[in-house]
Amino acid sequence: MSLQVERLGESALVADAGTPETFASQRRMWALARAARQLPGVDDAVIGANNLTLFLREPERWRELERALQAAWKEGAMLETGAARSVEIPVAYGGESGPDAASLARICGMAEAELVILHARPQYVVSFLGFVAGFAYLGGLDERLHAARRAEPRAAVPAGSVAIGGTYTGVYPRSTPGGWHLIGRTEETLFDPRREPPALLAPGDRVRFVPLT
Amino acid sequence: MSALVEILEPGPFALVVDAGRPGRRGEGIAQGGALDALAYAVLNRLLDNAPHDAAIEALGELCVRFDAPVRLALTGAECRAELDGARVDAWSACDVPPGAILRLRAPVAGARAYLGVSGGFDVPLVLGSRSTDCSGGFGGLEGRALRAGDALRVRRRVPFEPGARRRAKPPQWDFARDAFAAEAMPVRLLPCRELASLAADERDRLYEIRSVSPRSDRMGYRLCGARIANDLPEMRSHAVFPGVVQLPPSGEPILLLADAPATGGYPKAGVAIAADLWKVAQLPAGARLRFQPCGDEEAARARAELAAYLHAIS
Repeated sequence: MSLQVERLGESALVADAGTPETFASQRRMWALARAARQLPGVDDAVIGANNLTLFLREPERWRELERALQAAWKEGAMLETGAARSVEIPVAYGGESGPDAASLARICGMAEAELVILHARPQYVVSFLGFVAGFAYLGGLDERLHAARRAEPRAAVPAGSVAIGGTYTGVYPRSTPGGWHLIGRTEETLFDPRREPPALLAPGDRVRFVPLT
Repeated sequence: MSALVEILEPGPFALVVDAGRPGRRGEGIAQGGALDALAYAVLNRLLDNAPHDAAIEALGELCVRFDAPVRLALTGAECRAELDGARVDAWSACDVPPGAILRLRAPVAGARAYLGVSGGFDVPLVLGSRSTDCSGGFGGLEGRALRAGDALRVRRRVPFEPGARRRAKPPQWDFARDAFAAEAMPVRLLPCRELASLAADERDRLYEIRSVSPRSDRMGYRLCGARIANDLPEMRSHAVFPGVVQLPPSGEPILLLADAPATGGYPKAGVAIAADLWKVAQLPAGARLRFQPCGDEEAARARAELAAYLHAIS
């Protein structure tokens, strides 16, 4: 797995490991992000799907940083990914809490009860954060539940909605527009700006959804 | 005891901003902050404030009352401001007596006005900044836009000096009119790799004149004009940031601004240079812009020019 490094705009440096995106490659990306944050002149490091973007204080020194990144990437699995936590999120599936559970089950060709079982079974891993503050993209969704986004995004998705979009599942931290299928809802606070860190989930954390009965 | 500034009318949209929260994108937190970072920087210089002291960003039609003497400054859009009926120039600072009422009208040039006070507005520091994060619902005043009846405390009191006045030379300001004229406002763009995979005539369309869609906000401007067809695959999610130009399937490019989300999935055309983003922030809906390809050297030169302009104000 080689790492392509290129500049983007004036001060960003993008490192991309290409495809396929696997758990192993994403794990290496978290480790790379951790290493990159320690490099001098790096203001921020943002993980994507098998890629990492650094924001540089002195963009003219990007070659040095590229070398440091490549060296860190080669160390690969040796790097520390940091302490992953295990988080359980209680979910009320279906009904008013998950208005798309029935329609998504139909799309996936299964009963709603089966959809709930398949969604609550895996231990998910936080791949990266984005979209809105504290929104975690969770990898490990059962392939039978992979589904294109809704044709018509909602103008307002209720806070705490547990949703499926593409190959990911996730929880909307607060009410925002959104195009994912809503299958349930949680009372858990995913993002609290008064907390440090404010986001409940960080890359590498393990997540399990527990159906409320 | 500190002074209070009461919001009598917020206009279409006004909020508390500062330099934002860069450095927390990894947690999905938008950079945020003043959309016209240059006008905001000049404002704090005029007031001898710290570079990150909080100000109000307004789309004009703002009306406020000061209950105690303060020093205020205005920069950004020209809104024919009046203090108790007397004209106040933009790009200047002055002292106001207790009870004074400041009124901004709809902008005649530009789109966003900045109102600052000596010491800045006193709202809580949240995640290192006083900026309002509207999509996250935190920062600023209760994480929301300002409303009539809100009161903002001023962090520092200064002795009242009637007649005291200080001015800054506005940055080259004619663009606001240019943008409505036949010639559109130039915005320099560092092209990115995906652009090379577009068909040549689609690529050329990127550099045609475009107008700012009314469906634009602080997250980004949608740019109307020749649609750019792209059969580029949806990208794996990656970091995006202010200045990035995205190519969504609709064919209308989106120029991301301060409140852009931390990650996105659309293919990118390029990145508008930082030294031109303040001008973009001053384009109202309907105004025209035109991307111009540029290289690293020109971007660096533009950065240096801007730094020299700011340095000269002190």
